[in-house]
Order: sequence, then C-alpha cells, then structure tokens
Amino acid sequence: MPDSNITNRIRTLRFHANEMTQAELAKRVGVTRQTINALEAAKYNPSLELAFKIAEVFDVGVEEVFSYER
Amino acid sequence: MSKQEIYAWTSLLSSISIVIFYTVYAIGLPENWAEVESQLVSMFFKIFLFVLFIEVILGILKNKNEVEKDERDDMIACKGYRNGYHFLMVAVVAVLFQMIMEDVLGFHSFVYGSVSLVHVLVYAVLSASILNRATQIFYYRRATI
Repeated sequence: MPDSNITNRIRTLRFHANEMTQAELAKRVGVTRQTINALEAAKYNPSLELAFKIAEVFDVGVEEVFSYER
Repeated sequence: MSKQEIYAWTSLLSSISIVIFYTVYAIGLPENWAEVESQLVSMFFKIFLFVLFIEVILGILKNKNEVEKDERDDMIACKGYRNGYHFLMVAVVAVLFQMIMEDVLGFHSFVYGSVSLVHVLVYAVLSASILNRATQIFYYRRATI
C-alpha cells in the first residue's frame, strides 16, 4: 500500500507506449531502473525535473502522469 | 539491486570486519575467548576479500551507457549520512560530558583514561559508519522516500 499521497500512472503509460520497459524509460530519463520501479510502487516521489522528463517521454502533461490525492 | 545498494552492502560488511579486527587486536578478547580469536581474524580476512572482490567485479563490469547513480541514490545517501552524523555527534558529546563529570565530580565512568577514550571514539566512528550504511540499505529495501 502506498505511503504517499502522490500517485502516478507510469505503469499504464508504459503499457500504452508499446510496453516500454522500465529499463528503457530509465535510460531515456537518466535514472536507474530501480528508481522507476520505486516510482511505480509509490515508494519514491520524484523531483520536479524527473517528473517533467517522464511526462515528456510519454508526450503528456505532468498532471496526467502524477496526481495528488488528499 | 542497484550498484549503489551493492556498495552500501559491501561498505557495511567492511565496517563490520574492521570492528572485528579492531576488537581482536586493539582491545583483545577475554581469555576464555582465545579459541574463537583465530576464527574471528579469519572471518575478517574472508569478509574483506569478499568485499574487495565484489567491488573489483563491479568496477570491471561498469557500463558507460548505464546510469550508476541518480537523485534517489543521492537522497538515500543523505539520509544515511544524516543518521550517522547525528549518532556520532551524540557519542562525542556524551564522551565530552563524562570527561567534564570526571573533572568536576571525580566520577570515573567506563571511559577512563586516554586509551579508553581513543577506543570509544574509534567505536563511535565505526558505529556511525555502520549506522549510515544500514540506514541506506533500509531505504533501498523497504522504506518510502
């Protein structure tokens, strides 16, 4: 169960991006695969820069990738 | 497991092996522990060689296209250093405090004399290092950042 109020749709977006692998996404945004894995498991909240880079890879707005729930 | 996590594990193991080595040679074990002394020294060398081997292998396998360290690794490292630093500061202040108590009240604690003081400070530094790496491993394995 995620401990953070920030959720993300990275897994879904990867699926729609022709089943992009975690390793491929990690390479494109310049982080390790483990960080992408931690993001998808909601165990890590990325920096703004990383959030924008991920959104850019999927060609969507950052609010479509990450959302804040109270 | 990321390379930084492997480095955290190897560093933790090397710190533990240095504690063993220091305990055996600088402080010494009780007489009835003489039988295990050689085993502990042998364990120190085995751990040390294992750590060296892992780090050399990681160095050889370094891939220029692969990201080795990112913002999450930096954040985890910061948390580890913070805990280690706090522990070390508390330990140093405690040692200073008991020295003042010694001078003012004539109270002799277990840290009596300069040799004991050095041992306590060395153990404090090594414990801070172990706490630092253990914190990092905790965040890599379980915790949410």
